[in-house]
Order: sequence, then C-alpha cells, then structure tokens
Amino acid sequence: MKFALAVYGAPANSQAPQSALHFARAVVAQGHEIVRLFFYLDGVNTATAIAQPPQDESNLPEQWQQFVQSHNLDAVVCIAAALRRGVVDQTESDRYDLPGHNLRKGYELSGLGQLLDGALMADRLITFGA
Amino acid sequence: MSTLHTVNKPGQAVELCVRAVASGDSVLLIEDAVYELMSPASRVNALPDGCPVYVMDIDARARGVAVSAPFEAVNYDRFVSLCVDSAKVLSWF
Amino acid sequence: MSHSVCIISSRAPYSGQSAREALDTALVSASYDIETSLLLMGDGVYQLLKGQEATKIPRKNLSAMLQVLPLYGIDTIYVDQLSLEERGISSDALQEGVTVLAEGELPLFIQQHSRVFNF
Repeated sequence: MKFALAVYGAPANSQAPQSALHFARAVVAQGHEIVRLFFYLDGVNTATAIAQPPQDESNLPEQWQQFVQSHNLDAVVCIAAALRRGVVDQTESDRYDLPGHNLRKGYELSGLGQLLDGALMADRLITFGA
Repeated sequence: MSTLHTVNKPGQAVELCVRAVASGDSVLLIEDAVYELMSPASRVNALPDGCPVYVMDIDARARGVAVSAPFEAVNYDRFVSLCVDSAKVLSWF
Repeated sequence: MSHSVCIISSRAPYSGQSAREALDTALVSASYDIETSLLLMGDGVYQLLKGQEATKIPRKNLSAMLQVLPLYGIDTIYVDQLSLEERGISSDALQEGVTVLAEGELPLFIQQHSRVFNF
C-alpha cells in the first residue's frame, strides 16, 4: 500500500516528528511504500541542519535525514513555510541574499502542490500535527 | 469502509474527533491524548457504541498512564495495520 | 477516479500560521480543479467573524482572504454549528457565504470527500 506522510510539528515544540518517524519505520518494515513525505507548518524545522540538541537527547533532524537517505524517500519541505521559518537551501539563500543555508541534504524545497499530489497519489495520507 | 481517527492531545482535538466519528470508525490516542484515559469525564466515553479506542503503548508508558479495557494498547506496527484496514485516516491535533 | 478534498481548519486566525496555511492548502487544491470544501471547526470558526482589523497587530486579514475563495470555485465555507454555539457566536456575526452543518451531519459530510486534510 502507498502512504503519504505529512509532518506539521517541530522537534522542539511537539512530538510530531518523533511519532512520524516511528510510524514511517513501521510502514517500511511492513513492506509498504512511502510515496511522499511532506513537511509543512512548523514541521519544516525537522529539516534544519543547524539544530544541535544536547548530546544526551535524540537528534531528530539527523535521524530523519538518515531514514530519508537510507530509503531514498521523496522528502519535500514546503518552500513558503520554510522561508517564513528560516529553513533555506543554497538557491533560496542566494536569491534572498541570506547569510547562510541550512536545509539538510536529501530534502527538496517545493510548493504546497506536492502535499496535494502526494495525498492523491497515495492510498493513505497520515498527518502528524502539533 | 471506516475511518481511523488519530488524536494527539486532550481538549478540543478529542471533542472535534468525537463529533466527526461515524459508527464503525475507530480512534487511536497518541502523544498527550493518552491523558484522556485518566479522566472519568473524557469525551472519549461519548463515542458511538462499538467504536474501538486504541492507545499508543509507548506514549502511555512514557507518561505513566495505565491502559486497561475497554481500551487496547497498540504499537506502531498495529498503527500501520489500522491505517491499511481503514478507508482513510483523519488526524485531530 | 475523481477526487474531492475536505480541508478542516480548527485554529483561531492569528495564533500561529495554521489558519493561513490551511487556507493556502484549500486554494492549491481548488486551483488543481479538485472539488474542494473548507470546513471550520473548534476555534477555526473565529476565522469568520466580521469586523476583523488584523492590520492592528499587524497581520494579513484572514477574513478578507477567505472572501477570495469563490474566485477559486469554493462558493461556500462549511461551519460546525456546535462550535459556534459553544463560543456564543450567532450566525449573523459571521461573514457571508457560510453553510452551517448541524452536529449529526458532520460524519457523513466528511466521509463524502476522498481526501481529508486536518489543520
């Protein structure tokens, strides 16, 4: 079965990205397919490369990136939501003349249409809200 | 086919979920919504008869909340199976 | 298979970006020529109050943004009646173009859509 997952909460203010990761691992372990991950609202903070949680706490952005890369998943971060919250790639950083960029490798900034596409392409859309 | 409703916090999320549930649907409490089990006045008790209520085991354990019948503790594998067995999944938060 | 989308928006207009980002999802869905319904529940019903002067805080006026929906083919906004009653809001306090759904109508209304997005 095809799943699309939407994540709307940030690691520091909700359990959403942690729950979504547990769920995504179980989806893959059961042999189902994740056709799209979509990070929206505060969920875009899951894709930042410059959060550094204390060493005795789990590093969710890193764990998510490893999961995305090891399963070669289509992981989209909503570009409008990300720009608003300070998550940018090299292209956007150059476009707006920002002092740096922090989108982790493995993620793509794209439009909200990708959430719709993902939901229509999948058999199930599961949302992890905050 | 029925709908699976996930709820991740007490209060409004539970209230709106209960309002949207049709007979034959099921409900899964995750994250802070597991605290609903502690409240005798929980709106979860207002669900139509025969709507099973599942509780994410690790979220309840993490918070020191005990799960007993008629509620059923589930893991993430079961969460995925519940999604497969339902026509769609609504998420209340 | 032709899809229909229901966007459920349940947050007040100016607490965070949830209401705005739910509305954006509805607009994108409608712009794809998908039959799209916007359903306001819980604190989401506050989005429809008349007389919002959001520039005072300053924010973009969400109520004004909701009024563009007909241009995208979304002719009515659905509202949960019980959410209005709980908040002491009468329907004449709301902007126009609203359809109120009674409590028992919600499950069937939601089921009629092939995809549901909660915000």
